[in-house]
Amino acid sequence: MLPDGSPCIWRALVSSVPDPLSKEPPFTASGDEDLVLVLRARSGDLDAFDALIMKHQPAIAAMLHRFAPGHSDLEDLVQDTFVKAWTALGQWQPERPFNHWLKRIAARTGLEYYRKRRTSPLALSSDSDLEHLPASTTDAASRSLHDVQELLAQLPPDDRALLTLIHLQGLTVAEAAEHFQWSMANAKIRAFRARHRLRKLLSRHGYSLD
Amino acid sequence: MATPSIEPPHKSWSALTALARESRQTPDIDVRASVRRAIANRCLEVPVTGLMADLADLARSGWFRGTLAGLAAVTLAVSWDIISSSTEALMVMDLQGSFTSF
Repeated sequence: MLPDGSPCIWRALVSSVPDPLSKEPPFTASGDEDLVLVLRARSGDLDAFDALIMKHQPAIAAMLHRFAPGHSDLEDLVQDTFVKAWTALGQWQPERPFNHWLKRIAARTGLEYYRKRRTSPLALSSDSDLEHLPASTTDAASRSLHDVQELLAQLPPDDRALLTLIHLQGLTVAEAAEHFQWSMANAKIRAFRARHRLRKLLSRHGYSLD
Repeated sequence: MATPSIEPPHKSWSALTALARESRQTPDIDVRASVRRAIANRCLEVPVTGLMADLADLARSGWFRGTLAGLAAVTLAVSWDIISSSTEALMVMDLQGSFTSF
């Protein structure tokens, strides 16, 4: 099924044939480029969707890398995000930036990933998740990221996802609420409880939350 | 001589997360091919979902509902007639049974 609700096989086949008469409008800005590509993708043009993936893939991968450091899991999450985006393309409102909409889908994909996995602290081995990086890149920052992820893995999935967005992605509670489609009050309560649990966890590991 | 502190040294969570945020090392991934495959797999499910959607549309249409209601009414009427006839037949059989018993 295409994003506009029509059967996709026929439309995708037809649209994959390049139209020699069609000319793409000149791009004035990144948002316009997204709009043009989304409109083409909505009509079944997979090449246009490929272009959207190429453009936004690095940012989405960087964001989801905070959720899943392992290469295979990260690849699955990025793929899931774009497949969900494809099926929901019709819901994107052009008034809002496409990358923000995409990041919201990515955040919810990360949350679902945590809920499905419910990883135990032991499941995150000390080095296995950093194996995909060359030795030169396993620097202090990457090690810190790994340490943070290892600590957050000991929290319930929703807390973990929320604190990942706040502490690793640098979002505010309001922004995190928007990403997860939670109400502001709900997000505040969750953040309060998550911080409380985090404080207890950190004190056991010799960290201070300040 | 200063006495050594017995408290464990406190590490700063804020400093740790600030450093972690600086990590820009993300593995090179390209999901274009796998996304295409996933979309194609979804497309193969269309005939089934399309059939279900058609059935759902049919069930929602007014003429279909009207026809169903009519059929139900006719079935009820016929069933009522059959029940009445059966009751009469049973009564006759009972009466005959009482005559033949003498």
